[in-house]
Amino acid sequence: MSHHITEVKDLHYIYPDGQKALNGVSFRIFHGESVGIVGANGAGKSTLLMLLVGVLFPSKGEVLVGEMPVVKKTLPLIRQRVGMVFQDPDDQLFMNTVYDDVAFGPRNYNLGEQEVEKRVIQSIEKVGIAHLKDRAPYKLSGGEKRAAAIATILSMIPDILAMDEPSSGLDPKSRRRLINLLKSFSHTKIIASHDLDMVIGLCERTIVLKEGKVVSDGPTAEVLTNVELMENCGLEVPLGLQHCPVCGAAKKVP
Amino acid sequence: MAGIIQSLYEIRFLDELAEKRTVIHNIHPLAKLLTTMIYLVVVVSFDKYEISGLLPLVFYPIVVIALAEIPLLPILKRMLLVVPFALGIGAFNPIFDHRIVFATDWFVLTGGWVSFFSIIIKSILTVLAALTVIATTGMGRISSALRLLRVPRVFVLQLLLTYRYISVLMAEVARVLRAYHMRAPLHKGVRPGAWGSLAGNLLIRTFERAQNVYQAMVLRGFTGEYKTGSAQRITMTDILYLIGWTFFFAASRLFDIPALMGSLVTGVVK
Repeated sequence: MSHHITEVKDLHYIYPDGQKALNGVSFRIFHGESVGIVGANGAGKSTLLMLLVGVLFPSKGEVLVGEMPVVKKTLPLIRQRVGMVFQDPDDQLFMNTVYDDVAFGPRNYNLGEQEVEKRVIQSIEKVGIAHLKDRAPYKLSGGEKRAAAIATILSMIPDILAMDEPSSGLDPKSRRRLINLLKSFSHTKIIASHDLDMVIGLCERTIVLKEGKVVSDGPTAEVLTNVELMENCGLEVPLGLQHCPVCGAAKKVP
Repeated sequence: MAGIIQSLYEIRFLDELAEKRTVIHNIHPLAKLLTTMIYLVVVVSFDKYEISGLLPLVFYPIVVIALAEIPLLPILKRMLLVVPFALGIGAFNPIFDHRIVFATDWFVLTGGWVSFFSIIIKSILTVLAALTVIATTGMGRISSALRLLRVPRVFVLQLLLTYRYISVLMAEVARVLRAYHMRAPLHKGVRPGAWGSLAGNLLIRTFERAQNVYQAMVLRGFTGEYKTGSAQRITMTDILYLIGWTFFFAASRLFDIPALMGSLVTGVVK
């Protein structure tokens, strides 16, 4: 299924102020894979996601989504296939009702209003906020906003979900609900996050970025338990894998 | 500061009103937009000393507000925001224009005062009409009506995004001010020395936020056309609404209705 591969080849990106964000990043992500992108602040995670959806264009190298290069001409198609969930749901919700917000994408692709309605209902039911359909998005709680933001992407029926810090600002219960929700999706998932425990729960593969370069790419359980690697990259072994703080007993790697 | 944060919650008030379903809300946006435009032209076209001729035109916003079940007080509050500008424009009329238009032994009314009140009435009527059309239609649907009138896309987009970004700007203002007052609890306002950096910071942050919002829109296929769902068809009711009001506005412009009614009443009394 080569058409579902997301590939990044020798990606470089320099911000207009001269700051080098990415410095030769390469990887391939296959259909249905869940990949965590981790790294310290400023490692280049968000920039990478922006390059995947064509908000930014690389200074050098290329991004391929299903063998289609991410260039200006292919953007409408790329954006239909890659759904991006922003770090701050307030950036993503700008209409007057949750319904209109979730319908925004499908309407832009000129679908009939019946199809739009079908997609909206499906998406909001999937994320469990069907009862909030007519509410104003800015009046929702953090968890509900996040769910709504994800629904706005699901309604476009993307193949790939790219998410920037999806669990930030959520209370433990909402976070757990989000993890279970994301687990239930069969999409290819690319999740940039500092929440390493969530990455363990969701992603079988993890890519570690440091100063705009890939320093490790492998099975999550191996990568995140490598103490030396984690410390080197400004990270920590996930809390869930550390020794018990009360009795000192060692945790088992899943 | 509390004022700004409060108004942040109120800024979407008009949008929320626009989601209601009443007789007026169901009228086609184009019909409402055209009616409002004709109304504005008629109100502004009156002579600068005209007051009585303007009075019947009060009828239009009152009827629309009543039928659309718009709460009066919040709308009047928003209208008051514009009054100082009107006062500023008209303030010098009474000083410079001393032409006497009406006088009794104890009272003299100059042209300056008449034109001053005329300006105030005109501004109140026009602002009220604009607020009611937004509160009964919503900015999204007004924009699609503008597009139906073949207004260039770039202008409609400007209008729409400016309106959308007001809330973004206000949110940033609220955050910056909150942070300022946390560290300067004794200051009543913002110290002049901090104005520059505060405003500069605000500008950059607003740009950034606005860009994020725009990117989120673009990523979901936004190309400049604001789609609000099934395009409403123009029905007979919409046409009658437009014709009915146009007829009323024309009548108010051509005939001095208060004077006619006055002479009618006095005629009956005689």
